[in-house]
Amino acid sequence: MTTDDIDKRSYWQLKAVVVWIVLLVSTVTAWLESSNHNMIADIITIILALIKVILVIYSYMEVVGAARWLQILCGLWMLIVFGVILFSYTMPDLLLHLPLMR
Amino acid sequence: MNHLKTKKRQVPGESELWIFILGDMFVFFLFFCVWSIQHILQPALFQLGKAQMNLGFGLINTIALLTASLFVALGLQSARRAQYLLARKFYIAALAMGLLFVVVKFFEYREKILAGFSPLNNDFFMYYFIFTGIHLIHVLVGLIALLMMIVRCGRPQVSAVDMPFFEGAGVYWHMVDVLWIVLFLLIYLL
Repeated sequence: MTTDDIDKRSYWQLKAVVVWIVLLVSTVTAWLESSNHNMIADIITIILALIKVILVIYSYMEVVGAARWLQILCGLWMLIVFGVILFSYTMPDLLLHLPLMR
Repeated sequence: MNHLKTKKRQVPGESELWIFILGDMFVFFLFFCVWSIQHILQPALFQLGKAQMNLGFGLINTIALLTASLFVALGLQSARRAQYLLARKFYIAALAMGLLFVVVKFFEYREKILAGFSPLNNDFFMYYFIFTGIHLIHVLVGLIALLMMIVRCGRPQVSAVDMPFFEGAGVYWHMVDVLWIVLFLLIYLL
């Protein structure tokens, strides 16, 4: 094992731990924020969850270094899931008027 | 030998696994849509149901899964450097976190059932038990995969040939984590 290998390993371990700390801080912040029942708090909570999902998918699942088609599919999944959630929790009245909801 | 061809690698783990992973994520996307739409159609019921949720259990479970994901990621990095005994320790730690999730879920379900809430009560609890129950099955499958990784790392003949399995099982575990992050958001936080 060369010094370069050790440096790369330490770098990756540090990166994984930093990601984990961000995930925990986001979780606790969202948990505290959830007691405030207003739209701003809801939006903050949804954005924090989106950040967590991005970090897990692109960092821990290693999608960031994967094929472009996989990056696009995962990105689309996140966009649609969080789009639906954001839309239905911040603009429910708008959705109620869609023909599908009647 | 995926780890030896990092630059040429297309996807983490076996390509076929991603059909299952993406399919599963799509099914859960439908679950999230059902929950969001029902929340709009029955706001009072979902508000009442959410008030019955134990945020503490949800928080512990989220931290347990996120920590398990960290250990799985560190385990994979160790395995890639042929440090299988160290990887084994990380996978055992991840298994412990996964088991904590299952135990907390057991107590959560017990609390709900003792309080008189069951899947037959109303739509909120029906969806709550179905969606979290299906997710719990995913966690149990992930725990079996972790056990297999622990066993493989302890074998004397463990080698780079096992890497696609380690990568695939890791991807699966992280997917379970991602799905829980969204379930935690919808059921407990919003």
